[in-house]
Amino acid sequence: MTRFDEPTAPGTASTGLADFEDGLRAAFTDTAREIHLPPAAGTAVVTRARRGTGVHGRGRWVAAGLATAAAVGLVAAGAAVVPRVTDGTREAATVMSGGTAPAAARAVVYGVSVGWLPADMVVLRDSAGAGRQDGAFWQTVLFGTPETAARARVADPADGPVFDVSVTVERGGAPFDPEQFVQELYGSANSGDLYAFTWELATVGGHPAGVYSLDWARPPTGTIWRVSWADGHGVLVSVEAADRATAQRIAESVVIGAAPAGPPSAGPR
Amino acid sequence: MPDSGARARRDDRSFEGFVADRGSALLRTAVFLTGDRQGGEDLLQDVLLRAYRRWADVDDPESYLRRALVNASVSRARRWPRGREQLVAWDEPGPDLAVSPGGLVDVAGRVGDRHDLLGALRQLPPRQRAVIVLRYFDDLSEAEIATELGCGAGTVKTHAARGLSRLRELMGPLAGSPAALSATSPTRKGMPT
Repeated sequence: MTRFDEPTAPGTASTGLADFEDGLRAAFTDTAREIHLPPAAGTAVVTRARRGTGVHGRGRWVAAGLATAAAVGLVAAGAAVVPRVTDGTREAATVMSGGTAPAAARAVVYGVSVGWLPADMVVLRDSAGAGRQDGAFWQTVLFGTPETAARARVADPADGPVFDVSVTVERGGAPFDPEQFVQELYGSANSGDLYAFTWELATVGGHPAGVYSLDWARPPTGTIWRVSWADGHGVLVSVEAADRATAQRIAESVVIGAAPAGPPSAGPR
Repeated sequence: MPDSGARARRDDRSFEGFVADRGSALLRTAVFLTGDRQGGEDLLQDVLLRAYRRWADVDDPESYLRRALVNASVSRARRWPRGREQLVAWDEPGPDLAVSPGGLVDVAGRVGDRHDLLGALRQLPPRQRAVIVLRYFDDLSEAEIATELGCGAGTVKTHAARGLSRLRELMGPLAGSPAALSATSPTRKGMPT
């Protein structure tokens, strides 16, 4: 079997690499032994797809144990979509508006009110997670027009997510440094997919912010403008859009509120 | 496999059959691509839901889904890079993920804890991680990986070399007793799905 860039001259180094590769394969095998998909997973996927719940209404096929606080509401046309982040899953439920979202808010993401979004935005999907090292929780919501939503429904998953705007809120994470964030952002994309990357310091609501542009090689992502800033009290907000003006306008419309109380874990579903 | 030989009929039953047959293998790939058990489950579920809608048009389901998993995992890392190295294995608290050289090999020379491998994988940039997973878990050739990732073989070599180097830094010597490891670990082909 061919080995990657195996040294040809020093025998000891070559042997060390070969041993490491063998050990790595064994580690994968050992770890994989414990990972199994429940037999009914395929049926569960078909059922969910036929219900039309799609990526918005999914539940996990394996129980998890996170109980955290996160909520998003899209306040439009008299209704809000509030995903319950319970056991690490996203379960969207349509409720009447007028809950915790301020009247002027277009959306609420993890207790952060978004006062302005481009016209006709709907929630395409939401996701959430937590940081192990610093105990942070975060939630990302993707928004798009109905046209974008239609494209997203039939998009090839191999091409990545389709959306017009994303809003991410993290609470309780490490202090935010716009310049340091460059390394994190660029490092995560250091894969040959990135054509161009620019950034500059700015302010949002008087707080230091970073404005980043990432020009992706692969469609349908294209160029993304990202504005990230923190309020100094452990809340980090990032907004993404296809143009700078939109990202900045959304960012400037944000009002940071308290984290919503989360429901208890729903347990296995 | 449902998709072997002539093009198989693509209906709900074939989808369910494919997932029953290959789902665990895909889940393992997904978990390694994300470096996180729950993240992998989430990723696979997302990709399966989307793939179901296109099921009738998919010629090679396994390759298609693997490619979708790779690209979706990279896309997720783009969305929220701060989460790249910090995802939690919700269902099992496990040890702290700080990986110290040599810390992944127990006294018998075996890799002791799956969290350690996952923790080390999380330290790699997503594309690099994907190459390592496809090469050393899925046993794909350089050419196959290049095809899956839509890049050149040279890029695959570079990612693999850098990824291996980084993993060696993080994991220390995994050798211990490679022969013994091989003897006690099932091969990929022999692994139940």
